[in-house]
Amino acid sequence: MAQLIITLVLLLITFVTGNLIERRHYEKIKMRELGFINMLTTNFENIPFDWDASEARLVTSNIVISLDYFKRFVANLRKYFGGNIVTYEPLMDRARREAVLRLKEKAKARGYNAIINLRLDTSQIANSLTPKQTAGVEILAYGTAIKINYDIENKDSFATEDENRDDPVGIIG
Amino acid sequence: MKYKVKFADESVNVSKVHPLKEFATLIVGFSILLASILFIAISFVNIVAPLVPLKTEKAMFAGLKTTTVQENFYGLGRVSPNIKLKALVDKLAQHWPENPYDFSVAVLDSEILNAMAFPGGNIIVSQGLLDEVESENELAFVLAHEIGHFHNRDHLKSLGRGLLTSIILGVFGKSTESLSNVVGIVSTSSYSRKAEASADRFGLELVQAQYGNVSGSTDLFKKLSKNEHNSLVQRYTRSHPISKLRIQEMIDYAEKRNYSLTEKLLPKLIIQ
Repeated sequence: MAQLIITLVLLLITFVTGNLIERRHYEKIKMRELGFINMLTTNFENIPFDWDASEARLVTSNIVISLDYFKRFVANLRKYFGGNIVTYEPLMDRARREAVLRLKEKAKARGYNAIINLRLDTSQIANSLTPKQTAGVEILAYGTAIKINYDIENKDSFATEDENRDDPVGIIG
Repeated sequence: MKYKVKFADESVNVSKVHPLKEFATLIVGFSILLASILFIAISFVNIVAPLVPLKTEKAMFAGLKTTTVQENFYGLGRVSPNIKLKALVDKLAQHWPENPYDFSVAVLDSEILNAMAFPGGNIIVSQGLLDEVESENELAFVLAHEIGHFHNRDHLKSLGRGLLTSIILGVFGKSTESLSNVVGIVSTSSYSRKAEASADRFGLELVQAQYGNVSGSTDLFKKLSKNEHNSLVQRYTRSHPISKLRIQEMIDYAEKRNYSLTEKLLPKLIIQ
């Protein structure tokens, strides 16, 4: 009986704190992402021939986020049935976006304005007491930061208006 | 190549299910899963246990004897065999022809109201219970109920049930321990309560066969129910049904079988 009560209390507390932390983090992420929409980030291995780029440098960033009790509890029940582990999805999403944001911040701080060859790596941080259990997840993001010399007078090389509605992703260019 | 700035909605990678809804769905789903597996396993036990011959069960537990005087019986007190009680038990057991046991009946030196049936044909009654009963019929029903446990193979069943439940709960592992335990307790205790009710019914049959009526059988439970304040949780986690329900079930059964509950009671037996 005591074990049940402790479990319920833990679940309640960690749900509240975990949810709060997650929401705050998302707000910050969305704000920072808005600030970086001008920074080109791709996973091209080579830059297109018509780019005028100078300077290149490897940049890396990482983030480690811990799994809280509530998330883990729900995941442990989910594993018997299959399906999306709904509690882990925001965690991984946050971690990835945060890692990429930190990468962009690093690149910008060093004077670069684009990143190519972006790669992401995930690893598990094991619990020290019960090594089979996951205590957290680490996302490593790395890429080549480059400085593209934009031709400001020639408007064609850099468009900031949302011109083509039938090209929402911007593939056609 | 032109670079067009687009602001994309990045939240496509997250399911829109609220975590609490997920939590509730999974708790219910898991409980149903576990309860179903337990139901299948326990049903198997309930079918197989009665197939074991009575003599085999008696031989299995032949080593367990409570008639030797012990210093401290499982930490509860001293146990002393009693001839008069055994005589009453033997009288009642005569009406169960297939009885293989030569019952050992003993008194436990404890104030707590209790009566137990141990595997191997051992019945123990506490001094507290002997002091509390006011008629021979009341005591006879208690003993007949214990004999009922032997008749219904309750020891074998609960052993098998306990073993299988432990194994199944072990499969589910430590991470879901708290939930598994709750489901386990609620599931298995219902079988225990059914066994108690079934022993009550057999007790009524024996008492009817011996005395021609079942008066006095519910007296002890009436006394117990005065001190029982049962919450809803207790109702579904106790090993015995709550006394109020027991009394009602016994009255209904007696009515159905046309056994009289209102005859004159025989005076209290002198056990010492």
